[in-house]
Amino acid sequence: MEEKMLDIENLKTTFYTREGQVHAVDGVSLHIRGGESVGIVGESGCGKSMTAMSVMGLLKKPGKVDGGQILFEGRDLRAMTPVERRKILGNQISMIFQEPMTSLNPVTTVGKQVREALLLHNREMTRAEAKRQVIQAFELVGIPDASKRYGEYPHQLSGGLRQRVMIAMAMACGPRLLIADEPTTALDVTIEAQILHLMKQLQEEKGTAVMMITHNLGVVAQFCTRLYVMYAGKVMESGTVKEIFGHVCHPYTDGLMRSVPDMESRERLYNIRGMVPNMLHLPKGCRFCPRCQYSGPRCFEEEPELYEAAPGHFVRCFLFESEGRR
Amino acid sequence: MSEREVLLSTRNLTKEYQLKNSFGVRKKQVVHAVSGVSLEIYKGETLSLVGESGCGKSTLGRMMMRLIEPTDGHILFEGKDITAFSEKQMNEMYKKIQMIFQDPYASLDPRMKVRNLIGEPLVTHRLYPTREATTERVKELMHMVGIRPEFLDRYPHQFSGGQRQRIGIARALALNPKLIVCDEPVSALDVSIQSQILNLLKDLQQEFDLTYLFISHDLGVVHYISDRICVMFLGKVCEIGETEEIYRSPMHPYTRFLLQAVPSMDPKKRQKREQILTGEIPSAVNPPSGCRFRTRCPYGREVCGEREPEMREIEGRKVACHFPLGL
Amino acid sequence: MATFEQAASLAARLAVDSVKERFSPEERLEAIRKVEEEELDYMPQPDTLKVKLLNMCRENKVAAASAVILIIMALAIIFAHKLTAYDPNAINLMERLLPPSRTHWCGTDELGRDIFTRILYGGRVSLLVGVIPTSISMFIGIIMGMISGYIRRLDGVIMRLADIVLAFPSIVLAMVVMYTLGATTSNIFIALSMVGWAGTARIVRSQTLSLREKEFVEAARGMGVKKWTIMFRHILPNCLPSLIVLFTLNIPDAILSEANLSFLGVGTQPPDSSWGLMVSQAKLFAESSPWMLIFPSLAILIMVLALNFLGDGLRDAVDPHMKK
Repeated sequence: MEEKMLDIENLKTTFYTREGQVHAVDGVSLHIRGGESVGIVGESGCGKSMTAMSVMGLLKKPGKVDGGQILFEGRDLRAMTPVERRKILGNQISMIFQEPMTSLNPVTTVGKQVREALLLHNREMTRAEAKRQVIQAFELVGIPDASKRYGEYPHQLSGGLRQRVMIAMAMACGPRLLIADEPTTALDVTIEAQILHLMKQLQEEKGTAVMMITHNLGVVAQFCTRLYVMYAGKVMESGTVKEIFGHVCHPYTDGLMRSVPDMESRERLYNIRGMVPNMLHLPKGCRFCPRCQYSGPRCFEEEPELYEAAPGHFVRCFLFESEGRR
Repeated sequence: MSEREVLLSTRNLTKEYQLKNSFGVRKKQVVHAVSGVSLEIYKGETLSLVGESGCGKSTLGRMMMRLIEPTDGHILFEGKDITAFSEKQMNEMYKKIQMIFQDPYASLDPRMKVRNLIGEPLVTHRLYPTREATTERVKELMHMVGIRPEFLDRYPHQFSGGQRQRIGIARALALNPKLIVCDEPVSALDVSIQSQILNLLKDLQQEFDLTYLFISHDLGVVHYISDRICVMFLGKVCEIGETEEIYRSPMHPYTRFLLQAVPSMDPKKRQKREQILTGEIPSAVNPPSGCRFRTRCPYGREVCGEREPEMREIEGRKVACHFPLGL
Repeated sequence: MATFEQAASLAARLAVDSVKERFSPEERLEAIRKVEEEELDYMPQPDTLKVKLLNMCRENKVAAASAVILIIMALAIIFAHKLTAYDPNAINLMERLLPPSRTHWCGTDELGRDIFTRILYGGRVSLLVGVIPTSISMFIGIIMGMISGYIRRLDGVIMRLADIVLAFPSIVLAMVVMYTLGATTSNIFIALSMVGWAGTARIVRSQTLSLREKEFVEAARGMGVKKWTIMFRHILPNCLPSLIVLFTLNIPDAILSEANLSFLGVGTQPPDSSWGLMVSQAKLFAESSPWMLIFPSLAILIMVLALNFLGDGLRDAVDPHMKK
């Protein structure tokens, strides 16, 4: 088993809003090994994006990381000086976002933007050399007419091409870890398939680890080897894709899977009752208890820990307490 | 199939937008948003319009409500040509056709209470003589869609996305319409909320004998909700038929690629994925000659660029392709 | 499908495993109801205008102070007769051109009238001139702007009309109106209304243009709601926040315009006083009796500044997107 490349321990991220504190990430621990693709799944507001933002140091006011460790190859990102951190972020760890249009500068050509990103981390490189590498990167991510596209502006490209540019930019410095925040949500299905295929291919060729943040269980099933299911700022279940999709344990994950209409059965969909909890006021006890069909009196009083239901398969639910404890 | 009663049909419905330059002068370029769509919606069924962004499905849905005026073609509702209706006649028609919108945040006036939001259609058509009677009906509608009647005096931003969509549904139901155009009603919602809304729509359809025109890009959702589907590409219909049959054996190559592109929930199926559709969606300003799909189609031959494929009927389905699959 | 089988198996596993810890259905419902009730108290509250104003006062001290100053000034002007024993127009040649003293706080003018008193009474005219023409011009501007933005056929005509009004220097236009109609206070209202509407119309038009594309307007059309009803029921209320801001920013403009007109001799006519007129009359005595010039000017300065600060504060509070 390879060593943990990214190891997040008990991460806490809080937003101090006028209405009160929102614990967007509430003691999340997760790790990614080199070359692995890990899915982080959950509904809006579960803290999956905020986990990534905390790692990248991209939190906006009033958000703040309050506690925990973010170890990248054994070094704590939080304890580093800004200069040291900048050497790692964008270079060793890079990120792609859901909406490529908002992360590209509309008044500069896409080629220049990728080139600048490249030059930023490779001071000694010449501009001509950088341009050559950018065009190469464009070809690598399957942008047709790469040298022509180099001089185009973001609005001249389609959504799929823009996302390819973002991937080219993210991959330009040869990162060890790529954090992808809903990279295909804004795209059409056929384009989504292309982008996922491309990411898979790059991952296999370059050995880059991928942290795939998504709400789409299908994407996780197809793309990832392990996954974490998050709900209201906590990890509810974690394990390999094979294990979880085969023997789902947490009632939330189970409900989520049964809520997705698929293309084979037309049986009535399962409904998780109620709605996503208000992050300003979480229920006492288990966060999922008011929506859970199995909840008992204890769930309303006490918060469960992560229990190991099967080797490597952790579940935050009392139902699996007897099976072991982490 | 033909003996079923047609509720709404379109004949050669077309929408083209003239592009203007920054001085407001018309350029020669024309966006072909929807080009000559003819289809029927039967009473009591759910017909889904499926396609990727820019294929004209939303424009088509809005044209059927005449929220967008068609450039050409006709819309027949219960046999009457509503394309020629005056504004006044059309306002009467809205008792029979209603719409549910995609964005539950933008579709409710932020400055109105739930009482007035759901009550607006009732007041507009003066259906109830007194305010009390209107309120009663609003409460009844809220109950139907699963919103607590105590929330009568709340504003939309006090609700979550799913609840807002329920309010939008209640508003659409208020006039007892026959046809509801659902424009991506669940694509802005979380998975667990999405299934609640889908089941609600199904229950309401049964209870009130509704007909849905369901616009969506999510093939899983479409499979779950619809009786028949209509696949569109770049303003044209590719294939219309019974949902099960199309999912089992798509005849138009585009349909097939679309279905294959959906990531399956079964991790074991990972290896089985076949070809991925290459290329980008062509521009609607300059659609390819002949078959509009031909630039991405691996089966394309010479004739596809020369002649536009006609809609043909094969085994109870309609396909617009020179070389349908599985024949 | 695979997941359905697993789900069944989860349910099956659980049914055997942990029956002893379970609720009865009623108990569970009760527990859930309790949690949900509690959560209701924490539902996001609407940021009503009141809440927004309170937030503004807390965060923007200058705006809050401006509001207090304006209230004090308005009260002083309204209750002028209680605050001073003098008659604003009583001529007392024995006491002409006195500097500020305990009896005449701001001194007296060339006819021996108490300047403090005249500022208070003159404030009535200035305040009226601030509020009434602004209200009229905004009313016209709102109607014109909404029509222009919503009924596109009329857009060209109305906007060209607005362009014409805006192309003239507004003070010249107002002077022309005053010369033709005669210099009375009510004509000042007319003159200022005629030049003021175009700016409002432009702003309302641009807001209408963006609002009419919103889905809720489309939804209203799809319900069969008539054009005019849509404009007044959906579009106008959504323009309201920016209109309130505009109102506070337009008032000082009107006050200054009146001052300009009076200074040029076509505004308020003596013996009535307004701040602009007082400044105008003081110009002959600026060197010998500067208090005649200083105090009315200060009154204008303070009111206009306070209104501007308040308007800026309101804009930030009501519409955060417009923040610089």
